[in-house]
Amino acid sequence: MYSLTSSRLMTGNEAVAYAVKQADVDFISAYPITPQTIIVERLSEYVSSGEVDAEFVPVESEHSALSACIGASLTGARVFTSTSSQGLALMHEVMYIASGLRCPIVMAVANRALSAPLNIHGDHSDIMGSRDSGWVLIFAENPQEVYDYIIQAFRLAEHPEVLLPVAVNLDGFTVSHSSEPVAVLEDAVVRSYLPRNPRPRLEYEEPSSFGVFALPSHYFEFKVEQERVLRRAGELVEEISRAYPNSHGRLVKLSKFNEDGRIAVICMGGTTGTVRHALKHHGLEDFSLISLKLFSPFPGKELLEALSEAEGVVVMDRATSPGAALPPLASNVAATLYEGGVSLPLLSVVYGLGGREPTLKMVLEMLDKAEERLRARGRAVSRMYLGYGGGVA
Amino acid sequence: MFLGRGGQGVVTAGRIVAEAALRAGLFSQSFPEFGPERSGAPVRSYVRISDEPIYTRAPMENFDVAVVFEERLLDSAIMESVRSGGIIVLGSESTPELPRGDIKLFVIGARRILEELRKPRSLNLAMIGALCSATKLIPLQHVEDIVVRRFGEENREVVRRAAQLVVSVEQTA
Repeated sequence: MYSLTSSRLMTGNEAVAYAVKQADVDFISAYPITPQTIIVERLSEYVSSGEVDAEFVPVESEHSALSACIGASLTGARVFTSTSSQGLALMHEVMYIASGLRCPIVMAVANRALSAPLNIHGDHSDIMGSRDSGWVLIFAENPQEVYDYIIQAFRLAEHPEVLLPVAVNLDGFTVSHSSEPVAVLEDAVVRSYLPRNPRPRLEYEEPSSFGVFALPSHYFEFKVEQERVLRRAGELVEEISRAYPNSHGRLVKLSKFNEDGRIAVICMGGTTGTVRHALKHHGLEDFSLISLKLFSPFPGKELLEALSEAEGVVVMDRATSPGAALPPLASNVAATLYEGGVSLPLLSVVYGLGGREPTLKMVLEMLDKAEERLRARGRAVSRMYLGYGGGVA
Repeated sequence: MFLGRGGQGVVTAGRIVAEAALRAGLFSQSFPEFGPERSGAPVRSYVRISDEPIYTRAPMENFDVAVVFEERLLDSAIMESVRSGGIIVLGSESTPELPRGDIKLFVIGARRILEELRKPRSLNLAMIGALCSATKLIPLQHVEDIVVRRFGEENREVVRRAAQLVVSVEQTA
């Protein structure tokens, strides 16, 4: 398998652009100014140098970027865009249209905080604001996963039974701007992994309508069908990843580390690596780590299996959900446990808002206090803000 | 940890070292200090090198090696953040005393090298050359190859000469 690959140093942003280049996209549209990343800058270079045979359409806003992507996608083109933070917030309205029109667009989101106060640093607030938009949401832990998941995202999005947009999330800065070795596939290998499947599209010869008006008599059915298709996308993850030529890079719904640990820590994105490091190098055998790669559709069945031996669960959210019972990931985990008839004490940890990256010391402190909090007065749910005010609150 | 000023190629330095480590068969990670970058203001970049996969993405608070591009940037906070037994590689034309006896100081007269070679903007490359000799963490040859590929043959000598001229300063403290 290594004969197919070579390693080179890449930032998460560069890994995205390289994967998109190899995916032979036909159309890229993006708003090219802040809060954009290097991703589209690299892609525009690839297009201008002829390394990618694609239309690159710079537009005046992210709303227009995703709108242009929808138009292109409906012609049958392979389409990519990327954004961050306020840019994603501005796309919010159009995200629902992309999924409702079953456009297999792939988007990279370098996750960053939302204003106000103004902040350019990393957290998951942006994508969590659009988590009900009907997109497949994947979270990558490092530049290698970013590269592998972008390629697999195209295969999943364009699967004839799916035809849904996919967002690959990478933590702003800690993954998007960090350079690490990335094993890349040969161009030809990627091309053969991503064949062009025929799909319903706009054609002069056979006119059809997309984006029709659906009154109360039909709208409900559309939405329930869309939900069913999103679930189906989850079922197909294994099929599309099994075919991925680098077996080390296959997209999984979740991965486990330290499987025998009694207390499971669930985390998404770059911070998962810091927790992994803490468990590995500090001999914390009481804890297992579940790195969740697929957030939507939420892999409830796999999570319940992964938690079958757990005595408690720590859920790390890099976003808040003000006014809600729990933040986004914890809320999904709690609902999954409830649905599975499993009663486990749950510690909901909010961390890293606005770029307050968890230090190793903070992670160790969280783990140190976790057991005590999980057992506190027999409460089912307890809460922690990691790094708030410089400590654990 | 590399510490210099915006515009001196601090981020690039980290990236070159990480790439050289990768060529040497090691695992590496490099990242800038996140946030707005201003020309002339102090800037840091960070590199982790290991013979096993690197998982952590935690910010770095302590360092085994600090490469400080100019003496005025070497303050007490930097000095304290170097681990015991660690190394400071300093760009300086003089040989300062460190308040700590448990770290090694290497000094490179980078300015003079750059003047002689008429490469005033290659301070970062001189600092990497000095780092290679001082620490033996990464082979000079890999750094030279990367530098020549990215910045041209005429910068090879900057790296080489800095590697030759870096000196260890005995600490008495």
